[in-house]
Amino acid sequence: MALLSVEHLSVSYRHRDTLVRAVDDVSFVIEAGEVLALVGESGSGKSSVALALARLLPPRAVISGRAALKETSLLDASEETLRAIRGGTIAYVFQDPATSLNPVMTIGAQLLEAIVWHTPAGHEEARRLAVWWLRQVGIPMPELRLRAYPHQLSGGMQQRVCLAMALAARPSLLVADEPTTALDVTIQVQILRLLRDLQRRLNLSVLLISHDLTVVERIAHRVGVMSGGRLAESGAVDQVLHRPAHAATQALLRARSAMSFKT
Amino acid sequence: MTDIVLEARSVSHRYPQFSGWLRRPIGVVRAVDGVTCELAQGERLGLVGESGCGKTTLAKILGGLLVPTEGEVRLRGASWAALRGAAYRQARALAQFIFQDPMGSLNPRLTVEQALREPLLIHGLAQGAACRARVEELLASVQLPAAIRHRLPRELSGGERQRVGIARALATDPKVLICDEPIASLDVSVGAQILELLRELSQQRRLALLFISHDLRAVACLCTRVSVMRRGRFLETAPTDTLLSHPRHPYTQLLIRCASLDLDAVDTLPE
Repeated sequence: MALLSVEHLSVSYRHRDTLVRAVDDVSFVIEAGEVLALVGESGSGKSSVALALARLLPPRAVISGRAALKETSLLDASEETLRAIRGGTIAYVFQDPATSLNPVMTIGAQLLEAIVWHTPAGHEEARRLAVWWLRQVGIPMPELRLRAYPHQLSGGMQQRVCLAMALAARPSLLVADEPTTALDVTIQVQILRLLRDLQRRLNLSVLLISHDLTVVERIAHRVGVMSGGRLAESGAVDQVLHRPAHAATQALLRARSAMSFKT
Repeated sequence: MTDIVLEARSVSHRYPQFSGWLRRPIGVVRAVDGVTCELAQGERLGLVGESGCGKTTLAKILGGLLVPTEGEVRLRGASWAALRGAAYRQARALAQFIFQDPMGSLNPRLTVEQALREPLLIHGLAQGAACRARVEELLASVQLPAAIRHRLPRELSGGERQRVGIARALATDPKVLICDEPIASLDVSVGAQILELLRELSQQRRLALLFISHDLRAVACLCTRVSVMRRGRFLETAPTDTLLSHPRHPYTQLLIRCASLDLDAVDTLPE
């Protein structure tokens, strides 16, 4: 059985008296240890899919369809179940680390919170784990960093902390929503490589949201191309990018080759 | 060369740094540190570098929006610092800006037509019927339909908004267009179209472009020459093809590998 299965997912947003459909009958599965990327232009509905899984959408969103992570049904889960899901069985890393972190809490306090809340570890054990996770995401002198506030770290370091926080809860599924878009290109490469290495080492299951086909190519196994709220096509990354069947995929590939150079 | 429109000589800019509630000065940040460059008519110069390297500060200095703490910038031979009154206003018309976020750089309460009329009226370039004809001409030059002139910025797509921003910059018939991350907030396909438009405009009008971006791919795609900037300094400047095929500075080599997301380009451990 697939780790995550999403069937006929639709998301609409109430706007005045009408409903605007952002996601239209999307179905896909993610197997354990697999990276699935959803790629598309802005407004194609890819982030709405990602946020719908842990019901992080605003109240004006109307969700229909079914989604299940292992045995847990997600879209009709109770508030109590959702608290365990959010940041627990499904952990998120977002585009802008500066707004994902709490500016008035130290890195250590935020990491400990995630660990104590979502794992059986006690305080002493949680502290050890926090240091261990900071080391896993390549943060030097992790013991010292526990006392730092987010603004004392660079954007790349902040994103590493976000990744550590997400993984420290030992999620079944990591959702990475444009995790490198807000970063400088050299830092982008570092974070992507870190994500790829951690994914392999820990056998993570990942839903990656991106607008960049090259990012997808580097770390995803399978890809779904979204266009106008629908899943235009999906399949193995090699196959979809080398033999694109849908006009939306071809358009993304054209845009990429229009802006690339040979070295 | 006689067709140099913009040149900077040993330009530096320092921002003072303060700390604590007494705002005690604790030092200076050299945002731009001894930069010399020139821009010829019809040339498209790209400026790449990571955030905080001083790209935007340099752009403001070159466009006369910021007075450098050292050095001087000449627009068609006249120093920004020496220009006053009518001469200054005339120079302003010659060097125009396009910014990253067209939503932020367009007044949300002005229609497209009103936004395009403003520079025409301020610089006394057209009035009445001529003004209206000029607005249509400007819209046509950025490939927007004339019917769009009654719309407000929020009723436009990101790409349309950026085209309006370009049309407004073209209103005063400038010689230099300074583009500060003009496609950073657009989808890749829309960004590629804006690059194509900028290329056409610079070729048709012999317009000098200074194109600032953190994205080497976009710069390489549009520009004839590229300068790589880091920590306020120019590391190297070369024709685009030369820079890509024979990058001299290790940092340029790193940028090139990172631009194609070569995951082996950097160690996972931070700098």
